[in-house]
Amino acid sequence: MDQHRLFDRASRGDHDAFGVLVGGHLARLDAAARLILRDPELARDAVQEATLRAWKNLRGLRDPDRLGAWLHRLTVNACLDIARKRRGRSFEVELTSLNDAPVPDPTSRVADMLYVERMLAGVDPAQRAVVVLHYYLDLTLPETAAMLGIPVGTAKSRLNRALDAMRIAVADEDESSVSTTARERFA
Amino acid sequence: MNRSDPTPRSFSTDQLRSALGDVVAPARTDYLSDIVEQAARTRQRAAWTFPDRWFSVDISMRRHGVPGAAIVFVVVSLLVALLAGAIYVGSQTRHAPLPLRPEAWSRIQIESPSITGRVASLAVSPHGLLAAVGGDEPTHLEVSTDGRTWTPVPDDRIPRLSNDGAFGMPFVMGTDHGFLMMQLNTIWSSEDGIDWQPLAGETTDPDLSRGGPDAATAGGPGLVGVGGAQAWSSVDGSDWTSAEVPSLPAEVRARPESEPYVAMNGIAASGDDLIAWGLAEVSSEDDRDAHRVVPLLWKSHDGRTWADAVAADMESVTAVTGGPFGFVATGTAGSAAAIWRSDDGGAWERVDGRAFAGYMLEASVATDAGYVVVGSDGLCNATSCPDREMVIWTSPDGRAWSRVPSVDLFTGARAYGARAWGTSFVILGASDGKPAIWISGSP
Repeated sequence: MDQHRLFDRASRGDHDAFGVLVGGHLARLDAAARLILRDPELARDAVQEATLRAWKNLRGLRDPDRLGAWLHRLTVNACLDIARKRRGRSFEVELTSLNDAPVPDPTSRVADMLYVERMLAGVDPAQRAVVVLHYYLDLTLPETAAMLGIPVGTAKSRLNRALDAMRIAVADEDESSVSTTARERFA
Repeated sequence: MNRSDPTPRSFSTDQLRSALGDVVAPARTDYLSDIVEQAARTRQRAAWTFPDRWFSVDISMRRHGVPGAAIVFVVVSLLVALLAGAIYVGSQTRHAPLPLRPEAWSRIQIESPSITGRVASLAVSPHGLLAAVGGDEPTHLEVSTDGRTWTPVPDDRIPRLSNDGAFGMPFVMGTDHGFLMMQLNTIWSSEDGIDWQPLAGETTDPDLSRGGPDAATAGGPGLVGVGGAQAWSSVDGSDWTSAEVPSLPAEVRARPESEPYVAMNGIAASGDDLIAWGLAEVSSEDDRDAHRVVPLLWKSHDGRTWADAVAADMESVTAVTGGPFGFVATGTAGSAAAIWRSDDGGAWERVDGRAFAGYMLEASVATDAGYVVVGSDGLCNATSCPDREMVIWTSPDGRAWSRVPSVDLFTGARAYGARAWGTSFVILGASDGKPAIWISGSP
């Protein structure tokens, strides 16, 4: 069914239509939340919090094409909210079995994944959020800054600090290579 | 691979993107049905409650545009009337009792361009109230003379603000002359909350080059502030001097993998005594991927030299306020909500915590009448709780506490801080995901 018709139905209280709309984004929302929070249960909480907010306020969204970007923004904010709240308590992070696996060929894709996973643990959630928005969700730095509501310079310095802390150098960083807009990517 | 001694690696953008995707593979969508069920149980907001749709004005246009003359006239007339009323009410000296009953509280929702959001910071000055409101749209400011009617400050009148809720929401405070706002190593000032001028910043003040205050209060030589792992003092906010602060606890200094995360979150005064509180995150000894929180509590008489004041049984400190009987600190001890009190911030005594069992304490404030602590229903999980309830306790002396009975006014609410406004207590936060404040009595 056409996305706009689904949106109309969801805006009139059809939760099944809302489910279809969210379903198209859920995998990426969940993945982004897991990357930021590094805890699957907290990530699920964040996504559920974000989608519930979206449902409640769906009639306030004028442009159905913005739904995806809006859901991502709500999810990132929910993640950062959870991270902020967790600061008052101990933050237990789930380890995957891969941490105990033998070190693979350092040039392999598995080695890349293990390295990135381990290094993500060493940076705080706000830095992770910038990395996730820019490199996982493919937002440009201005889009990343806009989504977080921070100046572009702050987003850039936060990204650089995160990559430094993660001991990662990105060889081919090129803003112009990301040509599509957030709306197109999240539509 | 050892995170304590990692070899830097070079990635292409595609490589990094793939690696991030692999970290979270496989995709997980098994709780879509939960989301749909949750939606089925939850009512949507009516369309007419969204002013941006009602007036058929695009949000981005309205936020940057100039309101129509008629609207301006009505708003100005209303403000003049409210100002006159506020001046009259403010001239009546009286002592309000503690707001023990729900009827003593009223909730005011602040209409915001944000679809969702919260009042992140609030300042009180002789000019009235200033609120920093943020959420899913960039942070903006709202002013009010009576706490009931709020007027947005046009975006082109204020510096670009952040709504990075975890680390970067602006802090606003009132002074005898107006307001100060602090964010991103810069301090702005305003007499009326509408016209802002930079007062100090990293480009002109070397003491702000490694960060600036995230919170401040009147005290010491004039103003004292804390942020990150630092503290400052200033006579008038235009020139800041770094203060001498205690060494971080050994377990924080020993964090092996990177610079430790330290955040001094707030500062409170009681007489000449000052208390700053915050936290540091450290990896646990047996599992570097698991972080835990170390509470930080500093004490000072002058804002220039600080000493460690954390009590042995404090597991975390979430808020401190100074009042008629000294300081009251909230936090956790033994994995449960806890309250301590102290005459001068030096020695802390834990008070009977049975009233707070099962709750999470998040904010506190005091007036001459006593203390108010705000928390939330601990039955909810981390933050996902559509029917979360804000809970308020009051105490005349910081020792004996009583809970304000639960009513609808406090459901679906969450506190982000509290302020004193004359004889009134003001709680700032969000109600059902929208910016809101709760005011006791009349200021």
